[in-house]
Amino acid sequence: MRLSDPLVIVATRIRVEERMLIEALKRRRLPYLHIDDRRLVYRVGAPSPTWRAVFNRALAATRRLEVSRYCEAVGVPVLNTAATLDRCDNKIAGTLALHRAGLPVPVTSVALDPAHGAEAVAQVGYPAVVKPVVGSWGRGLARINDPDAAEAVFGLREQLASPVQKLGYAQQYVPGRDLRVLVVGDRAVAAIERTSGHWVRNTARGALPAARALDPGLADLAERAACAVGGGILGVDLLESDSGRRVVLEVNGGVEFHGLAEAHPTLRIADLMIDHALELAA
Amino acid sequence: MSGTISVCPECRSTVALDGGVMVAEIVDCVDCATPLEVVSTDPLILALAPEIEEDWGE
Repeated sequence: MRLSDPLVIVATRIRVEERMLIEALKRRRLPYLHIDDRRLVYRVGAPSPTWRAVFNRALAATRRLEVSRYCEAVGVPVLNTAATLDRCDNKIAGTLALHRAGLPVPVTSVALDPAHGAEAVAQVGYPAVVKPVVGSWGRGLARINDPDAAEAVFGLREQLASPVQKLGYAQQYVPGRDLRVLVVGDRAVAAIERTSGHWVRNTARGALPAARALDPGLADLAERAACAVGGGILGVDLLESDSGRRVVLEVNGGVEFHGLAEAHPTLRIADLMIDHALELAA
Repeated sequence: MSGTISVCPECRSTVALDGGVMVAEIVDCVDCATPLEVVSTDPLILALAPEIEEDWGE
């Protein structure tokens, strides 16, 4: 690796986040390259690319995993690793990893066939939230208040072509404040609270972000959650009840941070990420 | 960079973008609101943005 080798942004789209990274790289006069993951073709055994490190910003979880797998195979540091993405991009894997690490998670049940999905919902109790195992941006979530609704949701799931979408993942519905903590490396750097008139509070669905103080307890919980999935550049989603009890919902491996940047306008998020990539590449 | 004017592949309206636009950005046609992907900036070429797939996201 040479200092003149580019930092690579593998990205399907140039969104606010990718633009922030590119602008920071330009400002710091660091060589960079944007590669569209959809156009990535490689021959196994071909000479390794001269990339300093890779920000894996592929939008599709399937391709995101393959990008990291390739980078690791050719010895290029990548954020995030395939092992981390494997846990983050599958809600079952993520919840198992968080629970195994001793972190508080909502009561969760899994059914491997939609015919038994309603049983998983009954195990966690009502109201419950049924989520797609793979997917994001709050799509496909259903709040279930009774067995009839569970049966209806899994009846529909049974009709879907994708085997992954037939998996049943049900969580106890936990009311509370919706928090997102950004972790870079082993350090929680900032937090936001997301508010919305809807119970699904993704900024992709219009939820509003507001800066939230990163108290030591919140930072510690987020950092342990990030560590539990393998570490990297991660968005840790939590719920906080009025009593102050916090549970970790999930950890996002292809983290979007436009809401966090909006709420923390003076925080140089992209620079923190670049610093971390350079540390890995050193 | 040259060419910040192109044609919407959906409605054939003229689409004008500022000079800082990057390949792989998504823009909306002001006339028909179709999301368009910038596939080239020099010359400016726009294509219909791909549909969101089930595994897209964070």
